[in-house]
Amino acid sequence: MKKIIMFFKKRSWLLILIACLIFIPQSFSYQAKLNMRVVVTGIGIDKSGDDSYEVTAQVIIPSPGSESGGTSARLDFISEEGSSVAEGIQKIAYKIGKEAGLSHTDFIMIGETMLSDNIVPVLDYFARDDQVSPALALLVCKGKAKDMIEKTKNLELSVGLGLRKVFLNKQSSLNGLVTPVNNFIADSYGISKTTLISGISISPEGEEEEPKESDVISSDPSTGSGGNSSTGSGGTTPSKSTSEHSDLPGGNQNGSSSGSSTSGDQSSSGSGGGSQGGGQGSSGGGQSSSGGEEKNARIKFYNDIYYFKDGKHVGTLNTEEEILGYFFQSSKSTNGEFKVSGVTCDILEDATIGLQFSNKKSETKVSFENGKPVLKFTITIGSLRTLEILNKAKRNVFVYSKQNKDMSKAINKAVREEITEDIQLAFEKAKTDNVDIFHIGELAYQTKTKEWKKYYDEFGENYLKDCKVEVEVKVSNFN
Amino acid sequence: MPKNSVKNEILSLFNENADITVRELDIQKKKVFLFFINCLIDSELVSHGIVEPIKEAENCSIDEFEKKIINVGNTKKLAKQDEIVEEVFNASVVIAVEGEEQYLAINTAGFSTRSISEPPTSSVVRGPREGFIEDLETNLSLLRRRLKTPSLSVKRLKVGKRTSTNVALLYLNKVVSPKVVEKLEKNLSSLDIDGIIDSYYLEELLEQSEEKFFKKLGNSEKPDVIAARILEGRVAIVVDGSPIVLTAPFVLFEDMQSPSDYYDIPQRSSFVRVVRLVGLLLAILLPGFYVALQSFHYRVLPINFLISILSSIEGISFPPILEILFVLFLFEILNEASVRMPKQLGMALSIIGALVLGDTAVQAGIITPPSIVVVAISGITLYIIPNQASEASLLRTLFTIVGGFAGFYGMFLGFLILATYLVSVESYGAPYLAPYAPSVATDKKDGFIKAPVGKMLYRPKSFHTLNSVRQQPTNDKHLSVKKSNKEALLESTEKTQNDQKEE
Amino acid sequence: MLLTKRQTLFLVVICLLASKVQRLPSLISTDLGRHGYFVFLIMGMIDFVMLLLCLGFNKLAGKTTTYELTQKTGGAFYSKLIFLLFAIYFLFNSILPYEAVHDLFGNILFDHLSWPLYSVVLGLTIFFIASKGLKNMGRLAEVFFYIIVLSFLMLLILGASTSNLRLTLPVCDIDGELLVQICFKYNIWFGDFIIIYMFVGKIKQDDGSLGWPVAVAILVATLVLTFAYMVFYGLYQEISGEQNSLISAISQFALLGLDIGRVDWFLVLFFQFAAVISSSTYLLLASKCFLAVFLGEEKASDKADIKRKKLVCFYVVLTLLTALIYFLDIFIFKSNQEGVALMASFTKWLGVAVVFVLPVILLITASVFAKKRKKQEKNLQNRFKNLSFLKNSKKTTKASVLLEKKLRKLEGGEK
Repeated sequence: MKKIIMFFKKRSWLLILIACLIFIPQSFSYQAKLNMRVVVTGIGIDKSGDDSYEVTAQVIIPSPGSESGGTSARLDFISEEGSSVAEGIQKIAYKIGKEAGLSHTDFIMIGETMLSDNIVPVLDYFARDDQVSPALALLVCKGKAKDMIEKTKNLELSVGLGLRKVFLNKQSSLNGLVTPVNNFIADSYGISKTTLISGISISPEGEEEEPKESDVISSDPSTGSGGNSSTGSGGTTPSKSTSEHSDLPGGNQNGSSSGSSTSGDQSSSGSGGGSQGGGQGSSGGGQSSSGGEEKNARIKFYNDIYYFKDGKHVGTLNTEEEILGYFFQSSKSTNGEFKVSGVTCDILEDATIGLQFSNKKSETKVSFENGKPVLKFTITIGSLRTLEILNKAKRNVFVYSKQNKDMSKAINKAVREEITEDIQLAFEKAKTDNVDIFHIGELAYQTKTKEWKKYYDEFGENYLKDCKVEVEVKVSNFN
Repeated sequence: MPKNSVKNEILSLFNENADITVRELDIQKKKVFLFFINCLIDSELVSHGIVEPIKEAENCSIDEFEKKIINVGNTKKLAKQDEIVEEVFNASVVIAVEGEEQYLAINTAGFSTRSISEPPTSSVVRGPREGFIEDLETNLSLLRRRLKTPSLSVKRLKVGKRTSTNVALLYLNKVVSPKVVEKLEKNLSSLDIDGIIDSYYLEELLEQSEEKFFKKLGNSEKPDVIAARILEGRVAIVVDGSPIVLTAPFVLFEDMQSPSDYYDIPQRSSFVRVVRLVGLLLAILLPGFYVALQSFHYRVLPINFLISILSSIEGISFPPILEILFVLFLFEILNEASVRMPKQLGMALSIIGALVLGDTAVQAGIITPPSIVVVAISGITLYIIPNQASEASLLRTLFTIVGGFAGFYGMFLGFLILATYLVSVESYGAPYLAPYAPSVATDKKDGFIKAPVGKMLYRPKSFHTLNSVRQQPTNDKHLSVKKSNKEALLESTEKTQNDQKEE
Repeated sequence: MLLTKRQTLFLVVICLLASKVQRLPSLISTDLGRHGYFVFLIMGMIDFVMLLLCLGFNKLAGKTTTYELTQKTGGAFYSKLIFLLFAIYFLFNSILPYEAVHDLFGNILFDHLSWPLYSVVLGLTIFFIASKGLKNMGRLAEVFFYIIVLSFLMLLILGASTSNLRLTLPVCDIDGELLVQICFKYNIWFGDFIIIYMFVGKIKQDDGSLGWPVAVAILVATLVLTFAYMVFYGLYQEISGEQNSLISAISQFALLGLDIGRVDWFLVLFFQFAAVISSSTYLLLASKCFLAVFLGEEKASDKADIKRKKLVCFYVVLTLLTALIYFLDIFIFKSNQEGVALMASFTKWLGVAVVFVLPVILLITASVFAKKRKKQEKNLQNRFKNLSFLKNSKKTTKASVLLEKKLRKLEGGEK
């Protein structure tokens, strides 16, 4: 034994050499080889036939010898058809001649053609692959996902690459929803079986008109151009940041909006930034476009919310009120801007008030009244600020007194009514489609299990029929 | 007896060609011989202090010379002729009187030595700036001036068959663990080597294990540091001919400490120690991490940095491991060249290095900018702890190779193996990673979070000193010094013995 | 004495955390879903109760090791049987974290990796760490403990920040029978306090007791693990069972990754030190137990040749066990749900025997031993007193010297 140990001790270099000869050649085959890999940052899925899917990949093509990352790369789009998503991605890889790296995939865009069927099986690939982040965002677009995803090349590079972050910022300010793919799949098997996905609409303004310095910003966000509606809710309430840039042309607005978006100001990102999907704030990425390439595309400010039951698309919240109603009750939206109309008091006459709120908290509670579930929202707005008052009174009235209790009362009342109405609208719309967008079933099961079970035994899948929603709005601090 | 037989006898002890000078004097009809090496002695001192007084001596005997005539230097009577060789080579003048069996050695060292200056690797903003030199006696004097206590023991030994290098062991008696002194003495005495040129020879020879990668003895060039370590219960090993003094036992954390830590506010010292640790880890692990990230784990990188890397590697044909190893190799070459090259060419080399590596090589597509940044950071942080630079440099290369071929997996296991090895090492009874593994609460007061001097009441307990109490608390009354049972027993035994002596 | 109280505590906590936050939550969630945290809570509480028995054993044993105690009380066969059970238990517990490391590197962090080849390095690593012995294991635990705990807590915080904990409600609507079944099925993952039995008599203490820190640590760890499961389920809900490992999945939704990259992977790596240390600890203990079974007294004697012989045997056993773990991981468990569930199915009775039954038996054994020892002490004291007149007359007999030595030995003095 001793001899054996001494033999190996003296020849330890031999053992090391053998180990190196075994491991080193093997390890070369296990390396990622970045130059033989293409980084896929987004995926679009459309249905192209009965059993085939068209998969479009948004890939980064880096420029050689660059000094800084974000601006020197460009996006490219490659589409392939396959009988499954996995096959489509494989074919894309073959087409490029490199391995597809999905670890940095940020979003999946689902085309309208997919919505007729259950999309959970299609997304199964992304839930199982260890490479893919379970947090990648789902988005739905009108028309083909391929066309929509290709429009991302007209966005700022960092925006085009980071749609998830853009929508996360939008989510915190009433106009965006991020649904991670894992959550979508998990919720489809939950009690409510309901999931919601944000829509996305990108319109490249460059195609319609040339950007000029004298351009006036469009005030209507719902036309879908979206981009210049950095004024937020309806054009009547210019946000603080974008009012600085309201007279700037689209081209310059790139730089300025990116500048404002990188300032990290939530409200500006919610409105001004929202038009460009700003607030990306990512290091090194938020630089203005280089050279002469104009990035004129805009993401629509308010995007439809698609609701799904059992993985199938059932309906859409597509009016501003319905969308706002959904976000008002969401605990993820904590600040934003909206407007209330028809406010009347001693000094106001049918006034439209632009408001900005922050520190919104939303508590939900389910109770049973006469055996029927009632979902109660208690929305507490930490701080509510008047942005502008468009008074339709015939004479010029002094509206700048903060001590005017009547005016405050009237505005508060209008706010409460507006929020309540919007939430009810959203709920009723989904209710007609028997979709539990507020997850009443899940909440009831969590907190009132016995009553819920009894109720569910009676009504089954149609439990939403007798459900009610009550809203209570409190404003803690009003300016 | 034939004439000059003493002279011939003594000369026969030396090599034929040895540069021994013999001065013959006739005093009171007796022959007196002076043996010395001219280049080692102080000629003036010999002439005026030895030769002239001897010439005027009334009695010609060694005793007379020693007690009445010679009034310079240290004198030592030698009984054996073998000792003459040692004394002559140690710059002494040996006096032999015809017919006498004894000889007299007088130390008259007059060789030139370097002046005391600040050591290049341990400069401080505040604090003493003296450094050791190559002369043993001067070094001992630097320590003696700081430790004016009779308990400072100095044991002298000679090591090396041909060099007979003087080595001195310094320690505080009744403080230091006797086992350490015993072991060191035993190891030094048992050394059978041709010669010791520098203290590094001893550093390797005194290591108790076969593995020589991690040093087991501390070292310093500053007397204040060595004095402080002696006070902590270590043994200092001063080697003649070397300005580096060794200390034992050694713990790895010693190298994280710097003399300037003790001359600055504790908060700043703590912060800087943490910075040193982070720097050391960066130096060793950063290139490996970079290679591992690029080769295997690119998904950890944020998208913008990934784009940057993808852009920079476009057109580079080398795999990341080879690229980094190449840059590391270039840096090592620059390092070596800058140490050895003439100062006049230093500027030119800096320009070449900067231009070639920083610009041209990148433009030529041989290496990428991120790799230069990584290796540059690693190269700078390598010298944050100069005493560990050699080990860190090799470990860095090892981890880079491991990271390149096995990614995070290899680095993860490599780090674990390294940590396991380090916890199992001991240096003369002290665990290598003390005071953190094993955890010693009192020792940690001089750890990463440095306590004020007033709160460091105990000597490091990792060294198993006989007397672990350094100071009594003065300001904080709630602090009390606890002595271990062993120490209390020792104290009471001493007291009893002293009482008995008095009686 | 090999370990300090602190090192013991750290080792127990590391072993406790290492395997429970890997694959176990996924397995539990497949069966119990949102109520899976009850398994952690219940088994944690049971562990706590059993730990109290273990601490009682430790106190009664004093400076006597478990093997010595069981041998002196029940004989060699009795002690070997207990140690055989311990050995097999520790062996299986060594495979669990090994498999977790396999999963992280073989399946998650690398795109492609030939695990049979690379696993050799892991096997060598745990062999190397285990070969360094208990003292160095304790020191290693001290080095890595804070890194492991901090990374775990940071991952938990990252996960909790995006998790919907309400999804673990309601508390009441649970199938009790199924819960008991699952607790029984996966009991091998719990019971980490058992390693304390191997440390008894080797802990540097005046009285050899561990005290309340270990108990508090286990309680706190139980609560934290319960919370970790809730966070995990709150993130993945119905598809929690699809995830490989809690520790690598829990931070996937963290928003940190959007800005500075996936630094949470570094935290996962730091945490995985616990898996390797835990695997090595169990491997070392398994080797020591097998050695005790086949060679008798596990402590090295004073004679050099016996010492060397035991050392050689130790290395042989360690090598064989490492190889066994390697083969089991590659060919049987294969780092997937089925393999691990298979292990769970045939080790459940072993777990019950070691975690629930043995502590009770050992406590009884220790009480018997303590009584015996007290009786012996009393006898010796009486006999010594009778000989005390000899001491007064300044004459000492050989017998009185021997008796004095024996008395001192019993009191835990010099050996």
